[in-house]
This record gives sequence, structure tokens and C-alpha cells, in this order.
Amino acid sequence: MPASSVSLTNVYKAFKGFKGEEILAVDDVSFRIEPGAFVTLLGPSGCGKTTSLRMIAGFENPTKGKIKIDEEDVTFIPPWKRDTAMVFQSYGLFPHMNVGDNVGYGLKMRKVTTSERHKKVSAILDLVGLSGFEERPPSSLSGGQQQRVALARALVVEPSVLLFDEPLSNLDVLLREQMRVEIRRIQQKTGITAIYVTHDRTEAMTLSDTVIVMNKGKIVQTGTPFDIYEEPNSIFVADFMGKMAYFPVKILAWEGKDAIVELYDKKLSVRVAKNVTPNDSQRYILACRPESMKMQENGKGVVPGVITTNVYLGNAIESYIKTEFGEVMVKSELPKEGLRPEGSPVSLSIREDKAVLLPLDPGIDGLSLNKANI
Amino acid sequence: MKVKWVKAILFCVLGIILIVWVFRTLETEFTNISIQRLKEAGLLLSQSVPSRSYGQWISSTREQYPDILPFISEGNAEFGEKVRPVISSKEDQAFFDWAQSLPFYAYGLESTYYEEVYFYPKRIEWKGHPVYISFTPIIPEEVGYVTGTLILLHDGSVIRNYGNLLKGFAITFIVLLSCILFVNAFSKDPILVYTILIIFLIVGIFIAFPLYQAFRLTVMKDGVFTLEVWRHVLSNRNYLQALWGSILLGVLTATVSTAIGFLFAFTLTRTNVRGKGFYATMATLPVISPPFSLTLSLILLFGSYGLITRRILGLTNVDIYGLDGLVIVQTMGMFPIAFMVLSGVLEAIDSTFEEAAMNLKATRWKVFSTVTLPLSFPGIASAWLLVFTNSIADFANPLILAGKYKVLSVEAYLEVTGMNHLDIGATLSVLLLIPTFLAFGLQRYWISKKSYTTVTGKPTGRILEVVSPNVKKVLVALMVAISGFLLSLYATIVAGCFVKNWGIDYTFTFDNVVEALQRGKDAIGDTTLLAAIATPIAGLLAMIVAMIIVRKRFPGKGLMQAMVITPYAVPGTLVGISFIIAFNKPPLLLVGTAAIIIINYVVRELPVGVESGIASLKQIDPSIEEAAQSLGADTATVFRTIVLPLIRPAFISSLSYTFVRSMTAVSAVIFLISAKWYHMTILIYNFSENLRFGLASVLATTLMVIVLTVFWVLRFLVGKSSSLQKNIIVR
Repeated sequence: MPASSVSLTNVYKAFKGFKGEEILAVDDVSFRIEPGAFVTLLGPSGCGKTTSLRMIAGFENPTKGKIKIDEEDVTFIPPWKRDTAMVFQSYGLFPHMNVGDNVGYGLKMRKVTTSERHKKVSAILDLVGLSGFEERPPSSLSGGQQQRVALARALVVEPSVLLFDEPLSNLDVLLREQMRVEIRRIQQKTGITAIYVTHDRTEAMTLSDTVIVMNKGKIVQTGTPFDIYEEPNSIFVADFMGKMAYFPVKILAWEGKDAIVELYDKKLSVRVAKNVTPNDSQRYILACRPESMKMQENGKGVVPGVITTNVYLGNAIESYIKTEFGEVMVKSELPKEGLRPEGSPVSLSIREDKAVLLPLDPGIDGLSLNKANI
Repeated sequence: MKVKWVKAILFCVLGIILIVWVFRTLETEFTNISIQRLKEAGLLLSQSVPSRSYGQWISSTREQYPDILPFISEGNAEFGEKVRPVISSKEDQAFFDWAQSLPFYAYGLESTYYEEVYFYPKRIEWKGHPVYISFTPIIPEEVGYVTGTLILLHDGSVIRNYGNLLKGFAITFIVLLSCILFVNAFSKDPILVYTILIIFLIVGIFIAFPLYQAFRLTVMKDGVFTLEVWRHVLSNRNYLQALWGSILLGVLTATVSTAIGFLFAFTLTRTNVRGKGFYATMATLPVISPPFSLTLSLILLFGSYGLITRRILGLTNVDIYGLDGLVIVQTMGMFPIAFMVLSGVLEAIDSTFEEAAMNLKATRWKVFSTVTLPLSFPGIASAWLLVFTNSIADFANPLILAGKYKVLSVEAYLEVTGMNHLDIGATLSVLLLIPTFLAFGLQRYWISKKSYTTVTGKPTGRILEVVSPNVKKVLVALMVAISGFLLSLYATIVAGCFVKNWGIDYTFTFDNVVEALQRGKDAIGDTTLLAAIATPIAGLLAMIVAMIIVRKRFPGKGLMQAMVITPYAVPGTLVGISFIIAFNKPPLLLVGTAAIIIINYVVRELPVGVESGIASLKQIDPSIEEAAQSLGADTATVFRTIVLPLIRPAFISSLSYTFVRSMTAVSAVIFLISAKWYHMTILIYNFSENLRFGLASVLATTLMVIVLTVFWVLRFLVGKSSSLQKNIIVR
């Protein structure tokens, strides 16, 4: 299958609000997706990720900016003339056609002969694990099966870009996990360029080569799932990707990409967030993932606290610890000596190579971050 | 982007130059040929000029050729003769006074002395008329030399009109060309833009324009704004009486209909009587009964020669014509509207409220008067208003049954067809619009805000017997009586077909059937044909408009929707009158054609189709259409392969609605029929006017059969009739 690059250059999209005011749904977004890559647009609802995807598909016109597919300007090309195919959150199957006709619709539009069409339809249904379902009406299928039909319908036209608009959010948890694996497998097998919109960070991390995190119409960070999780460049990304513990620190010195900070009279050498140039006038806060902290005997770690709650997850324990900076969560394996009882005093040590120094916006109380986290 | 602009403008300019060139050439060519003709005519005419007593020749020529105005200048200056205009009338004097001031006058005269014809090539104005002027030498045969000059004013209006026509064409072409160029250059979806433009054009020409013309006529006379017509109408007792008559009739009909509608709706939703299906059918059937049918049977039963009044009761001085008869017949025809509104409202009121009230030790009457009735008040009010507007707009029933009683719609009709007072007719029907708009406004801004039904929970599905067994018996007895009355009306119509001479001779005969079908077969054919042509147009157009309104964003969408819906609120009388006002002159000379009737059907039945299309499209996930688009289907293909199949029930019901309503139309179409294109309902009216009730019954029965057949076929096609009934209810 052909794979194409996709690029957006300074794209804006303004909508009219209820009172006639302008709302910028997409605010100066630029990115480039290489052929064959699996890219996720991740962000909370209303961040502009779906609007961006719909502009790539051609359902919306950008207010400003340029969209290119395979270096060809498609900004004003209607959806039906673009070589993209979309898989929708609500499947969008044609209820008045059976599965075979649904999947064959795009081929019909491309004037593929009937016999060729039948061959391709049954091959693609085979790929998504639905061979022999041609005659069934979509309404007789389960949600997962319906979404697989939708996927087959998009794949069969061999688009150069495959677009996913939160395709799994209508499925239950188990199916979602299963479909996630399947989508990744099929994308790898076909080598097609895929753009995937979701608000689910797990989906984004498991599926994609690159994650683009968006907020309020802007791109806030782009990177591999690893980068985004381990080295967020802002509190927003850090929080969005998972639990974080925040500690106000005093900065002693900058050392290239690292900084020497002081916490409870202890010196720590930690990384500075990506794309952040050290600046003394800026306030910073130290951020730490739950699995990058360790509970030690009282006095052995850095931050003292008391266990308030233990949550046993089977493969791990989440312990909530009350500290001077609010309650933070630590994720650990079950220690050999057994569970520390609730109420026991502990000391938290921090893995310096995993902790990140994040810029703190003016007006935000660093201590409130831990409370908001709960 | 910039390149596109430059390209579009460049092509546009080139196109305009080409079009202008082509049309200029055509115009010049035509003018030259015409001038050549006029020249020749002048030469020919000059040969008949006598050598003396010009005056008589001039006046007889003017009489003979109305498009040529001859004048004569005597003498040849070349020979040193004195040149003298021949003046035998005031017009001659005026002409020469004017002509001698023309810069080319002397040159024109001079040319003729050399035996040459001078034709001034430009059009000039003489007393407000476009004319060409020519100078032709007068060479009497017996003399052989030029003795004078024949000056001719040729009527230039034909050439001018042709030029204007060409200009019109040129402008149309230029507008079209620039539209196409710019749409293609800047629109992602040219088909959609063209569709929107065409719909705007249709809506503008066939809805906005005629209504505007009708309103204009009420306030303009000879191009000047005046309220004279309104003053005349509002100071005339007859018209005021008609206004009052319409309102009184509306109030009475609305009140009685709402009461009966409530009776049926309440009994069917709040008690467990047997035979609910039968009563529900009885309470919906009259909505689709053809016009005049109930009126006819009322006359047959209760008229002065009626079966019951004369034959059974032996009464001789009964007069069913007038307000009483109208209220009866309108109520029978319109209580189903109230029934449908009220049963919807009562169904939506959760009976838990009533249970709760009873639980609090309220008596049955208390429950009804303090819970059920107040909760259904918004429904009662909107049912009342709906019947009221229908009654006021009603034209068919009062046309036959009003007698001396005056109502606006009939008065407007009589003014237009009887007296040829288009302006008064228009004014009266605009007057008719005022109560309708008031009712609409009331419904929209007051009642809809008072609605409680939306806040209720899920209906329990159980029926709480809120009436005592005795009350229930009374309710059922009333329903049986009304249903019986209705059935007897229908039976009378059918019986009327087979009776020799109703009221006098009740012997069985087929004569009426044979004669009615003989005389009506053209009308039946026309009516069916025109309805059959209008049906698919209206149905498809409605679905296209619905899709565009629901799914697309474009400037002027609200305006389009408002304009499309307008004919729904406007009484048919006004639509009919506005059509004859707007389309009785070129270029839109449509009066007398089949087209005007078809267009009228389409425009009037469009709103209901659009509304039902909108309602069902809103139920459909837009991503279904987007999926098709992303798979390569353009807007037209999406409409054909996805939208239309998905809103098939709305489409089919809108088709059937249009067909039935077109077959049974009266109020607007009565203005638009012609000798060539007749309508069945008007024929029924004519038969009843001439007291040929037997023939009228046959045609009315035929219509009923057609309508019922269509509905049966539809029920079969759509499966469920619910959406259908919902659509039918609205008018």
C-alpha cells in the first residue's frame, strides 16, 4: 500500500461561538508526519485534536494555513478527492447496506469491477478477522465487530493516509485492549500512514510512534511515547500522561541540561524539562512519577511522610503518603518484608535520573498541584 | 490563492468581453436589418405621396400604419425653392418645432435633394416613445425630380425590446459565467454551491417574489405608494363583516373541535375502553377526506331537500347554509387536528402524577381538574390555535356552504374572479394572514414556553382509571355518536352517487356515475397528471433542502429555511392570488399553463416535506455521511446512495403528502386553473353550484378512493403509518 507524508503549516481554525464570538479551536498548529508513521494526537476534549484530524480529512476548512498530503497542497480539496480514509468513533457504518456492501462502497466509488471488488472485500474481511460476514447487516454485529468492519472499509480502498477519530471509545475495556493490538498489527503489516486521535493516554502510548500532545488548540509537546511520559515539558503534559508528585525545590546551580536543586537540605542532580532553557527569573518545581520514588525507613530518604492509604493492585501497591507538600502517591512492588501498615512514617527517596524540573507558571501554587492530583 | 484570483478574474474578463462582443454583434446586425426594412418601407411609402393635398394623405396614412408617423417638408432647396414644412395639425407643428432643432435635420433634408435616403442610425425619443427618423425624397412620377421630403418617425420599440432582451440574456450569461468561474475556483464543493444557488433562485422567484408582488399591490397604485386600497377595504362594511365572520367561525370551530378532540384523546389515553383502534381511526380519517365531501353530505342530509330534514322529519324551512353548517362541517373535518395534538400531549403526561394525586386522597374529579387538565393546558391551547388558523384559512367549505354568511377567503376569491379586483383580493387575503401570524406567534413564544410535558419521567405504560365507570359510559356514548355521525356523512356521499335525484327521486341508478366520469374524465386526468408531476419534484427538492439545511453551513441558511417554510403559514387564497399577480406578464408569463399549477403544488407542499426530512436527518449520525465522503463519494453521490435511502420514510411520506394534497387542493389552485388545465375539486364545486349533487358525489367518492389507495400503498411501503399521520396533521 502507498504511504504518504502529511504536513500542517501554521493551521488555524476559528469557529463562531453561540454569542457570535470567535473561538480558536486550532491555534497555529504545524507538524509533519513521515510516510508510514503512526502518530497520535492526544489531549483533553476541546483541545483541537479532532478538528485538526477533520481538516486533514477535508471535512473542515482551515481558517488559515496549509495542509499537504504527499507534498501536494490539499487545503481546498474536498474529502472525496483526498486519498484519506477515516474510521469514526461511532463507526459510521451504512445501516441500509450489509457488511459486504459497506466495505465495498469505497471500491464502488473508485469504479472497481464487481468481481475484483468481491475479491478485495473478502481479503480485507479476512485481515480483520471477519471472513464470511459479507451478507450480515451491520446491526447484527457486536460493537467490536462493527468497528472492525469500519476499519476494513477504510483499509480496502488502500488510502495513503488512515485517520482514526477515537475509534475505540465506544467499546468496553477488554475489547478496546484487543482492538488496540489489532490496529497496531494491521498498520505495521500494511505500512500505511496513520493519524490517530484519542484522549486516552494508554492508547496513545501503546499505539504510536509519535505522540503529539495538544491543549487549547496548540501543540504542547511532540515526541515518542517514552519522551512524553518520562520527559514532559510542562505540568500539563506531565499530569495528562499520568500521576505525578511535585516538590518545591531551591535551585542551586545549572549544569548544562541538568540542575542542582535542594530539597530538605539534600542536594539532587535532576534533568531540566526538554525545550526549557534555564532561566533564573522562572519558577520551577520538581516532578516525579510514582514509580520513580521509593519508600525508605524514616530518615533514609529525602522527603518525610506518613502512609495514609495502601491500595493493593496485585502486581503493585499504590501507597498514598502525606507529606509537607500534600499527599503524593508511590507505586512499588510488594516488599519482601510485607506491606508497611497505614500510619507508618516513611521517608521518600527520589530517583534523580527520572525526576524532572518543570517550569511553574506564575500565579500557580506549587503545593496545590499535589492536591489536584488526588 | 492569489494565482487563483488572478486566473478567475482573467477568465471572467475574457468571458465578459466575448459575451458582450457576441451580443453587440447580434444587436447591431438586427438593428441594421431592421433599419434596412424601415428604409425600404419609407421608399415605398414615398411613391404614394400625392403632389398636392398632403394633409389628407398624411392623416389616412397615419390611420393605416400605426407604427409609422409621416411628415412632409415641401420644396427643394437645390432648385432654389422655398422649403416649407407641411403643417395641418397641432402634431405637425409640434414635430417640426422639435425636429428643426435636431442637429442633423438640415443634413437629412439636403440628402434627399440628391435623391438619397437619409436614415439617422440612432434611436431617439419623441414624446416619450423610442423612434427612428428617416428622410426620404419625394419624386412624383409625373415630375421626375425631388419636390419635397418625406420625414418618417418609425416605431423603435420592437428594436428596443429586442435589444433589451439581448441585454437581459447577456447579463444572465455574464452572471452565470462569473458564478461558475468563481465557484469552481474557490469552492471545495461546486455542486453544493450550485444547488444552494438554484434553491435560492427557486425560493426567490416562486415564494418571495409573488408574495412581495401581492403586498406591493395592496399599497401601490400606478407606481405610487398609497394606502387607498386598505382604506377602502377597512371602511367597507362588507369586508369588515367578512373579517369578523372569519374570526367568529374560527373561534367557534376551534372551541368545538378542541372539545371533541380532547374527548377522544382523553378517553383513549386515560381509560381502557374497548375498540381504541376504531375510535382512533375515526378521529384521524377526516384529515384526509377530500374537500367538499363533508359539505356535500351535510347538504344531502340536512339541506332544504335533505334526507333527514325533508324526507324524514318533513321540515320545509331548514337552512343549513351559513354559520351553523360551517361550524359543523369544519369541526368534523378539523377535530382530528386537535385530537392528534392532544393525544400526543396526554400520552406524554406521566400518569404517576395522577397516581400521586390520588394517593394524596384527591377525588377523581379533583385529579382531573387539578392535575390532568392544567398539565394538558399548553396542548389544549396549541390545538385550539392550530384549528383556528386552519378554519380561518379554509376556503372549500365556506365556498359552498357559507350562503349569505361572509368569510374573508371566499370574499377575496369573489373580488378577484368576479370583479377582477386583484388589489382588493390581495388586500383581503393579506388581512387573512394577520390572525394566522398572531396565532403562530402565540404558539411559538408563549405556549411552547408553558409546556410541562418535557420535564416528566418515563411513562409507566400503565393506565390509571381516572374516571368513574358512569363517566366513562358517557364519554363512550359521545364518541359513538360522533363516530356514527361521521360514518353517516361518508355513507351519504357514496349513496349520493347512486341516487337519481337526491331529495326528490331516490331510485337507484348508475346514470350519475356514467355522466360524472364522462364529463370529468379530462379533469380527473389533468388533476392526476399534474399531481403526479409535482410529487417527485416536491419530494426530491424537499429532501435536498432538508439535507442542505441540516448538514451544511452557508450564509443565508436561516433565510432559506424561513422562505421555504413561509407557504405553510400563508393561506392558499393568498398564494393563489399572489401567483396570478406575479406571473401574468413576460418573462414569467405562466398564468394559464400547467407549469404554474405544478409550481404552486411544489411550493405549497415543500414545507412539510422539508420539515419531516429535517426531523429524520437529525436522527442520523453525520459520520455516516462523512464516512461515505471520505471513501470518495461527492455530495450528490452521498445524497443519492446514503441520505435518500436513510430518510426513505420521510421521503415517501412527503411524496404521498404532496400527491394527496395536490389531488385535493382547492384554495390556491382555483385561481390558477384554465380551460386547458382543470382540477377535479373545482369541477365538484361547479357541479354542486348547479345543484348536480349526484355528479359531485361521484367525483368526491372518486377522490376519496384515490386518496385512500395512496395511503394504503404507502402504509405498505413505509411499514408504519405513524410518521405519515404526523405529517398529515399539520394542515
